[in-house]
This record gives sequence, structure tokens and C-alpha cells, in this order.
Amino acid sequence: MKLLTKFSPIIWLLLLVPLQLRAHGVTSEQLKQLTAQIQRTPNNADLYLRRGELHRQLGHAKAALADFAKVQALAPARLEVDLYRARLYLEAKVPARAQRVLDRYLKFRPTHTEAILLRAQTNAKLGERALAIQDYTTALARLSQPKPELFLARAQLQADGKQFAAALTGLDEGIAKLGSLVTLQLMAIEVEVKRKRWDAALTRLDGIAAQSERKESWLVRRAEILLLAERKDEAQQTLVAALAAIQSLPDYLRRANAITALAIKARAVLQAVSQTKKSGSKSAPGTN
Amino acid sequence: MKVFFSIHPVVKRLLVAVVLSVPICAQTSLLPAEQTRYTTLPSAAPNATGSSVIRGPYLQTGTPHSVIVRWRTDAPTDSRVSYGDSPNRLSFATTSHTITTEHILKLSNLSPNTKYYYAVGTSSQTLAGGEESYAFVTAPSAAKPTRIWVLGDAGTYTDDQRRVRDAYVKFTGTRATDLWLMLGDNAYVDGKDDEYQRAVFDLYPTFLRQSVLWPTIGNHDTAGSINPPEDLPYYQMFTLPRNAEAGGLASGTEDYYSFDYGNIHFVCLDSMTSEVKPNSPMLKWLTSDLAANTKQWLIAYWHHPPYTKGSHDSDAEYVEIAMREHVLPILESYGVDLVLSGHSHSYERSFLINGHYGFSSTFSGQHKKNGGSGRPTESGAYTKPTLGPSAHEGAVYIVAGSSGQASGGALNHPAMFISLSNLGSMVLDVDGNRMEAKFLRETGLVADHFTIIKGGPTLAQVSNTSAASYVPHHIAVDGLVAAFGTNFSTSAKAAPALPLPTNLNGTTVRVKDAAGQERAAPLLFVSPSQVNYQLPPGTVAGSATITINNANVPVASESISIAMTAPGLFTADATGKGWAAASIQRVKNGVSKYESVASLNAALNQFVPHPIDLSVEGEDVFLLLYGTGIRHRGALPEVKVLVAGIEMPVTFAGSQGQYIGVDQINVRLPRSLTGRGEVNVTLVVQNKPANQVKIKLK
Repeated sequence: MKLLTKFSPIIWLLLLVPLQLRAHGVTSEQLKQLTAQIQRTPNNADLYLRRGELHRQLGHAKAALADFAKVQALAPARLEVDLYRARLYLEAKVPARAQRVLDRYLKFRPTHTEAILLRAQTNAKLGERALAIQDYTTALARLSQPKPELFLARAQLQADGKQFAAALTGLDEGIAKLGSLVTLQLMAIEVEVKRKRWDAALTRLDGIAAQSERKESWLVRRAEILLLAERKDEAQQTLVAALAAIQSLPDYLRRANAITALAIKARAVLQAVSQTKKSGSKSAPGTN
Repeated sequence: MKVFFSIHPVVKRLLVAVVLSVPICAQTSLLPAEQTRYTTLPSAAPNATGSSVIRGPYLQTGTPHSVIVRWRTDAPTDSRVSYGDSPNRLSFATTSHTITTEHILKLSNLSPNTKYYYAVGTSSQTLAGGEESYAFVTAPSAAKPTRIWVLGDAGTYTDDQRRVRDAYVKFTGTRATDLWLMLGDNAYVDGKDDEYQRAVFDLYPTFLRQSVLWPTIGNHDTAGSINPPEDLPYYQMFTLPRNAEAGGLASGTEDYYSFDYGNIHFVCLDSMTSEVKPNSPMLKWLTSDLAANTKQWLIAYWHHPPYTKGSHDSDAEYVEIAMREHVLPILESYGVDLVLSGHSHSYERSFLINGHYGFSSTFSGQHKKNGGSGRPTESGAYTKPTLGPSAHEGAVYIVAGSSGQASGGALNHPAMFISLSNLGSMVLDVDGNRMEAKFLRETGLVADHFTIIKGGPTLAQVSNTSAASYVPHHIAVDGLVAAFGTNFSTSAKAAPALPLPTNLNGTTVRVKDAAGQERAAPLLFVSPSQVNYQLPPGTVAGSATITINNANVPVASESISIAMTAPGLFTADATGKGWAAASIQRVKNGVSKYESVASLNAALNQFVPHPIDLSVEGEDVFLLLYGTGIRHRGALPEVKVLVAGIEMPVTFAGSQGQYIGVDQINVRLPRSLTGRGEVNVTLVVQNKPANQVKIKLK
């Protein structure tokens, strides 16, 4: 119960507002049943833990924390209660508290993957980039089929810290594990572009395009990279190819807003390239 | 706040000892297998090992050339699927020597749209199958008539769930189900393995072994966790395409994926465990996947509904809001046709809509691409002009979360054509450019149905106006309406007698009101460019859709707002301007005499006023105005009439009583108006002004 007394009204507000949005009929019914069970067996820690978790799902932060405190009082060995608290704090945007309870939990359960991942997210929110990267790396090593999101989150932290080589290595690790996913490759291309490794970016892009029956969006992106590399002739040719690819689409696909926008963009870039070539300007046109 | 991402599911098999060293795209979850063509059939020998099938077989990740067969045994064995073109001729086999209780074998090199019979077992014994009901049809490589069964929030393991299933079994009869979708909350309460066993595997054994199931994950499949562990039963029991094995673009995760079936591209999204915000990985993948799509139809599904007022509220719950704000713009820009979700335990089905990403209070007629029922026999099918996934031509959004329980709710989301708190499931039939959708109740009743036709003609615009003033959209309950447009009828015809017909010269008008009720309107007059009708009695105020049909073909439709009052005054020349279509009543000594305010001068070919004499001693003079949209006025003081800018005493305002839809206002004219000449008459009802008319005073 100690935790509760430390909360300021503002923290409570933060806790309560976003979570109130989750009411659910079935869960509410479960809650009633659990409360009835607790009345019959008031010293059953497991029931408090289950009810606390339901309270969390229903947005009853105060009630959830009270139940978790009760679990700790009844069964001090139930360390996982800190994991439940951490989820609640993280959802409630109180990462400092989440970090505290996760650190405590991981001291006793250092290989718990979910806890490591929760702490990675917590550290990222607290701006503890190095710690977050470390936690992601630990978690990724423990998972045999991690979600691409995890590789992306770690790479983003690395790229934010200008650790481009590490970001690329991490993304390639994901590609080796999960396949040449468009999500991983697109981020790798962004990093390659930041490093001005144009050919590496283009090679990755070509790999994505090869997976897709339709090439037009990849051709436009290719042209953008070529322009950044100041390879205007190639960019021009690629844009012409992109417009031809768009033109060859069936009418119903060509009329899609996204494709119309793509065509407008391709034409604008093509026009800009032509103008800069005529004027001999060396500056690359804006590519959005 | 939604936690940023989830731990990825591993479809690791509990008892699989060997992991394949094949590339990721070859399904790491599969057991290592060898394919055999038999010269002699394996014997279906008695089960010497004593093992038996306790789950399945069930089919996963079907493609035109492959399908994954899974089953569970009560004791570890090796695995074999024998298959062929008849139950007695299972000429092929795929075998894995890995000893396991979770058997996952991929049958490859199959022919598209071909029926295969099969049996599962060990390398030496058949444990199940080899009979008529153990058969599947591979996905087609091109369009074919496709039946899809959709279950949402089914997994209650109750009689309700069974009734919904049994109704579909009866409905579909011998028509095979080509594939089926589960919209999440597939097994209550926590998606545990034993809960799945009861609510899915024991409930639908025949469907599971005959048709490929494509599930999405709901909150009860993760026990409420948005960061579920790798060993979550959902992840372990399903083998879903993470590497574009069945079409689409690789997502790298089973949480969200896409697949093709014939001319349909399906997108399964994850509203439970994946981050939903601009540029989040799932949405980046979605954008790329849709940009690569070439299929004619686009169907998307996930658990949390973007529009609902059932047991959940899409105005109040952030996952629903996020899906609506961030996912719908992408889907609509790539031409989605149908969006399916559950979570609310109700059936809620929208109009054909587009571009609504805000709260329900901001939904309006402008979001309706077609505000009719979508039923060919009523306001007509929803037609989309383009034969393919073209942007912003409208989509139908469905909450179909009542396959296991019905939980009510306000059920009043304005985007919905119909909202029901009934048990049921959805049946989709796609044939070429036509989709027929039905909500099948547990009773066997089809409680809703609609049709989408792609590449068809769109309905023309129509302008519905007050029949008195011709002010567009100035329409009130029980009022008279004049609609203007084209192709309404082949010729002009007036209603011959009372009661008014609802079909005149082959023309009908249907009004779908805010309560979801659709009614045929009584018709006064039809012509190729104009229809006059009364709003059908019983129509309630609020948004409504009016559809005009000619020879049973919908030709025009408009979404309007119907008010309780919308005053309009008839004029003598039926232009909505000029001399009032009114009478003068003179009462003296209890005797009434009537005269008209204006009449047609044939020589001038125009209406001319009759100056009203107010000078007769002992005579009360009343102006009787005729209009429409007035009768639901509230208290009499809500009705004000100004003559020459002076408020006159109103002695009556209400239904005229004799003529359908016509209202009457009686105004006493004082002698003090004598000598005013031509004056304006202004009517205001509940602060709403009617069109201004004129009278002439002597």
C-alpha cells in the first residue's frame, strides 16, 4: 500500500484518463465473479492478482494497484506482481515507476523476456537510449521468432544516436532471421541514405522491388535516391520508367489516390531534374 | 497508452524436437517432410501405438498449390498426410519423421481449385480421414465463386455459439465453404489452449478439416495482454503467412498478414498487440502491401471496430479510434470494399461510406457514397464505378461480433444502416464483380443482406425539395416533397385516386430513416424529371436516404436530413413565390363564405390577385394559408404569421385534414390592414421561416 500514498493527483489523473477507455462487458462480468470469489476466500493471492489485472484492463488503476499490493502482502514470493505493475505504469505513461519495478523484478528473474522488453520500452521512453538498446539486444537474442517491430525499435534508437553501422547490422540480423521484409529494408535504406551509401541503398531497394509484382512506387523511390546521389541521368531514366509503369496499370489501379499522387510526384521530380540539367545547377531538387 | 510493441509469437511447437534448417520463407514451423507417391496404398491399420487424434486435422495457409495440415495426437508419433483424388485413392503422401504431438505438414505441388481427399496419421497408420468428409479444395489461381463464412467473438462455448454454427450448417447445405474468418475473441475467456479446444476445435471439426481458417487476434485471445508471450496458445496453434506464402507482401509476423483467394485480396490486421500510428511498422507494411495489390476485391479484417455503438464505443476507446484514424485512410485510398471486425457483441452494418475518420457526431450525409440499403430489391445494390480497388469509392464496415453472444449497446452509430443485438454470423459470396453479404441469425433468418457491384453504374443525383417552397432539403416529417432529377419515369402520370399508390408508372420512392426503417413513399405525381411524394407516415426525423427507382432499377439517391418542421407555403402559380395559394373565409352571424386570394387570368396567362375587402361591418375575416411541413409545430405560439410586417393572431395551424400532406394556417385579418394594397405574408414555425408569399388588400 505504500505506493499509493506517494501518488500525486496529477499522477492519478495520468493513470486514470487513458485507461478509462477500455470498459468491456465480459471483463466486467469476470470482475464481479472474482470479487465474489475473493469474498469467499479473502487470503487467496492469486485471485487478487487476477482481479488486479482485470482492473488494469478496465482502466481502474487505483483498484489494480491496491490488488497488486494485496498480493504482495499475502504472498511476498509472488514477484511477478512487479511485472503487472510495470505494465500498468507503462500504459499510464509513468515510465520512471515502471523502470523501478522492472529493475527490481529483473534482479530476481534476469531472463524474463517480457520484462526485458518492457524495460527496453521504458528506458526508451526515459531517454536511456543505451540501456534500451541493450535490453532490446538481450531480448532479441532470447526470441527465436521476434516480431520485426523489435528490430525496428532498436535500429531507430541506434539511428537516433547516429550509430548507423550498428543500426544496419541489427536490421540485417532481422532480415537474416525473418526474411527480406519491406519494413526492415525500408528502414535500412533510410540509414544507408543517411550514410550516403547510395549503391547499398539501391541494392536493398532492388531487392524489395523484386518481391513485388508492381514496381512503380519502388522506381520513384529509386529515382529519389539517385537524385540525392546527384546521378541525374539515371534518375531521369528511372522516373520515365516509373511513369511508364504507372501508365501501364489498369485504369482502376491508376486511379487510386496513392498512385495518382505518385504520378504527380514523379512528374514534378522529373521536371525539376530536367530544369536543373538545363541550367547546369548542381543542387538536387527537392524530393519530399 | 498502448505498449509500443509485442513480443513476437513463435510458432514453436511444444514437442517438436527438430527445427528445420530451411529458409524462413519455407515455414520454419513446419516439420521436416518428405513427399512420396505411392505405388501401393499404406494400410489403414489398427492403431498399434495407441495414439489418437485429439485435435483436428485442420487446414492453414491455403494457396493454389499448397496447404498446411495440422493435428494433435495424445502421444508423440511421426507424421504423415496421405492425399489423392478420392477417399480410396490417396496416392500421395507427405511424411515427417520428427516425433511430436503437434503435427504440421505442408502439402505442396497441388493443383489450383482442385479437390483433394486426405488422411492423417503416422508413417505406418492412418489415425483419421480417408473418408468423404476429409477433403479440401485448393485455392483458385483466378476468380471463382467464393463463399466465405465470418465468425466474430464466437468462442463462448455456449448453446448460443452452437446455434449460430448450426444455422450456418443448415444454410450452406452442400455448398462448400471456401474459407472462413475468425474476427478475434475466438475462445473465451483467456484464449487458453483448453478454451480453444472447446470453443474452436470441438465446435467446428468439419469446417476445420475442409476449409482453411484465417483468424485474427482479439483481446481475449491474449488474456488482455497487449504484449503477449511467445508461447501464447494462439501463436502456437495457428500457422499463418508471415512471408507472403499465400500472396501479398511479407509482414514478417503472424500478427498481421495478407493473402489472396481468387480475385480477392484479404488483409488481416492486428488491433491488439501491434502499434497503430502513422509510420508504425504494421501501417508501413500495409501501405506497401496494398500498393502491390492487383486483385479486384479488397477485404480487411481485425478485431477492434472503427465504428461501433454496441458493447463497445468507438468514440471512447482508443484502439478503435486509432484504427479509424490511422488505418482507414490507407485502406480507403487503396480502394477497400469491406471491413470486418468484432469486439462489440452485435451486428452493425454501415452504408457504403467513405472518408469518415472522426467521432460519430461528425458523421454526415457527405460520408455516404450510397445511403441506401444496398439491397437490389429496395434502394438497389451498392455500386462502385471501378472494377477493382480504386480509391475512395466507398466501403461497407461491419461489426460481426455476435457469433457467441449478443450484448446490446446503444446501437445507434450514424454510419450504420442497420444495428442489431442478435446472435449470428456473416456469409459472403463473391462472384466476379458482385458480392452478396448476409447476416445469418442463429434462428436461420437472414436479418440483413446487401450487395456490392463493382464496375457498375452509379446512381444519379436527385434534389429533394419542399413541394410547396421548392427549397432544397427543407423537408419535414409527414410533409410533401418534390424531387427533381432525370430518368425517374418514362412518362408523366398523376395519382388517380386515394389512397395514394406507392408505385406509379413503374416509379417507386423509398425512404430509409434514422431509425433504420425503410418505407415506400405514397406518390402524387411522377414524370421523367419530377416526382412528388409524401414522406411515408412513420418516418422519423433525422438523417435519411431517399432512393428513386424506375422499373425496379435504382436511378437516383440522396441523403438528406428530415426535420420535425420545415414550413413551406403553396403559391397560386406553383412556383413557391408570388401570390399565396390561399383562401379568405368571411364569417358573419355564424355563416361562412369563402373566396380565393388569386386566380388564373386566362387572357394574361398569369395569376392575378383578388383584393381582400376588410371593411364589412360585423364580419370576421380569416386568411387560410396552405402549406406543408407545419403540423408538428409544437404549441400554437410557435407559429407566427406577419402580414405587412405586422404579427397577426393565428387561430389554427395543423393538418388540413382532407389532402394528404397538406397543412393549413388560419390567420385573423384585422380591419386595420385596410388600404395596405399588395403585402408580404411571412410564416415562421419554430423560428424556421417559410417562403414568403403575397396577398392584396383592398
